[in-house]
Amino acid sequence: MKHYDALIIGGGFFGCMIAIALRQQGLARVVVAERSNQIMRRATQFNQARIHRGYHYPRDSVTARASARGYHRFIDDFRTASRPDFITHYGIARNSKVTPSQFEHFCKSVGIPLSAPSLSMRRLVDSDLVQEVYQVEECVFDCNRLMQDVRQRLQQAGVEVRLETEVSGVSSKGAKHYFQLNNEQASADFVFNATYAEIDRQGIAVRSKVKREWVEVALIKPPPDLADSGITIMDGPFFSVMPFPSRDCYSLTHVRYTPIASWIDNKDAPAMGAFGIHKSIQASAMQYDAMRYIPCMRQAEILGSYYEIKAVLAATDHSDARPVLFEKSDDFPAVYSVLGSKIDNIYDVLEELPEIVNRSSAVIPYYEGSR
Amino acid sequence: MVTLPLQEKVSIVAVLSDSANFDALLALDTVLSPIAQNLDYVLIANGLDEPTSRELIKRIHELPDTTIHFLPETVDDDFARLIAIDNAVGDWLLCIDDLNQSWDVLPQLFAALEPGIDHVTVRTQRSIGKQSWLYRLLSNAYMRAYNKVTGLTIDREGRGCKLYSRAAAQYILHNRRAEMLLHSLNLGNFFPGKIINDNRVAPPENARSTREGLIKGWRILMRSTTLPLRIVTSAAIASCIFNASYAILVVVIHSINSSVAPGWTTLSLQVSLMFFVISLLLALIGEYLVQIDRSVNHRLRYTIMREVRNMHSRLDGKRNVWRTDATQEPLTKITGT
Repeated sequence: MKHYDALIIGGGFFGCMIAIALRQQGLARVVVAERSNQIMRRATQFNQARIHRGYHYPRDSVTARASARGYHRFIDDFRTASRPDFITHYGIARNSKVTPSQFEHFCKSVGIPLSAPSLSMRRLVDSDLVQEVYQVEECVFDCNRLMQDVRQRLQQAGVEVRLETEVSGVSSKGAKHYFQLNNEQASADFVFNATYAEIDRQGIAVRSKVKREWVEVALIKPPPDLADSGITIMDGPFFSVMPFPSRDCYSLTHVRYTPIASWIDNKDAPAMGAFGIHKSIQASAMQYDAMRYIPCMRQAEILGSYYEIKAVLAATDHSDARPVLFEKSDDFPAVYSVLGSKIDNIYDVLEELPEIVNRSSAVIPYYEGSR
Repeated sequence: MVTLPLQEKVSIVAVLSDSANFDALLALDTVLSPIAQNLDYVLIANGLDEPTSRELIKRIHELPDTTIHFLPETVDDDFARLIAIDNAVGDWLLCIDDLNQSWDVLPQLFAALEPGIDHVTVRTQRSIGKQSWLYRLLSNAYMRAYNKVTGLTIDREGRGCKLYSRAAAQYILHNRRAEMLLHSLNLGNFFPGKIINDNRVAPPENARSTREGLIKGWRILMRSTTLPLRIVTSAAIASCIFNASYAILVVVIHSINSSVAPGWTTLSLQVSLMFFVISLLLALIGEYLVQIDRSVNHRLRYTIMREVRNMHSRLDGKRNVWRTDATQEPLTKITGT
């Protein structure tokens, strides 16, 4: 029976980065078990591709500060995947949950830059519906390049990646955890469950309630006036038109039309269509509403939509707070469930690891080749 | 004692009128810190003299997460408070009417929070201030009339403090009656609230002359309602009807009575029709003005001369990780706004 120091269930961005960090902290045998035939093919690939800097969270300064803190570090670490060649804007809608004064106050307090937009951008929005527009410094990432980068890091760190591998039958005896990797029996000192929307389907109970949404994100060819720039209108009416580099197009998300269905208990999960890119359902509705605020959106061309399950902590779903869940299992000695949130909040999670690894007697001395 | 989760931010909004207030804020911070881990202070320096402003700037480092907005001219305290609300981003806004008060009631105030509650008011006993008897008489009459017309319950008790959910604060901010809502015990059925009765006598209100009171009353009336303009349009319509009726009467008299003085009919018709047209124009213009007023965004108009901020935050170094183990309760929030 093969023994590992740590098993990471789920080869998404958070799972892979945890695996690399564990290797760097001295664990010699770390394995990532990913169900599909490639790492980072689900939630990491299908999201807004935005490297958050905090602008999105005027009503939660903890998430905003974490994003502001991680932004430059993420860009420095993943230079090849980051795409800073777009100009991003935020518009404050009338009847928004934040006023322009509050947004400015918030940005100053978090220390993120705001400036006046170009005259042409100001003219693109309907001033009856949008109170103020700001140019911000925020960029997007190319998921394909990010995946290549992470794959290389995993290889360099000596992390074993097992693709098309299901983890089942997790149990424990003493300080060790036993499980099956497909049909092969194995054991590990630590288990990290980083399976995002599947977090409570691995035979590891999660006490915090997780809300899932089946979401549709429209992929569009942007109107010529929005080429090389992105805009988010917030906060009440809320939609984003953002570059989506991995598909060489733009994404359009809308707070009202992007979620198709939501549920907390898995037994309430609706019958869903296939995940990935398919024909659009709600994209026209998103476009029509966006046209009210940005009339040139009528020139946008809908290319299709991608469908994915999004997971958030139920307790913070109705607010701006997007903390990363880091929950120690009640049933096992060293099983942790991690529900990732914003991609550049990864550093906060990695900072949690030394404490966990160092307080365990199972730590293997530092491995020279791991950095 | 209630402790709000890290994700629940409390913004303290207050108006500074002298430097002694800063010591009161430090005392307030000592009481609030165990209750709320995520705090910020949005302070409005309203009509401060130069030495006091200098002192405040010098001392701001003593209080993390603090911003002081300096106004170029003295404005009414309620208006200054609204400016503070317009700049506050907390999930909860603690509005302090007077900084020179005891903070013993605050744990009770936060303990009153429960799902569905959007505002909690601490109601103290009102002290007789330095206002003249005429001011008090007119003020009481005005409030009674205002309450009757608007259906609000304007708090005539002493000044204390109020805790608003973000949604309730935004409602106040965007309401035409914002200044009066700051003193109201109800914010409508959609924002349920609680009242905590505090038997202590509140510090007296700042002295305001009868003239200042009248100006404020008139300003609030003009901002709150289009009733005066409606009276004008109604009078114009009544004048239209009167002039039209008078013109008909003139024609009838001219038809049945041959002894009217030459030129009377022409002159009377000319005058009545002229006033008919003028009244009609007034009524139409008045109606359009009402419509324009309704469609205008009643955003606060103000200028901030200087903004001083203490960039040191108690959130520095806090990770955005909700770390739980078997000993901790899962994350819950009191409210969502």
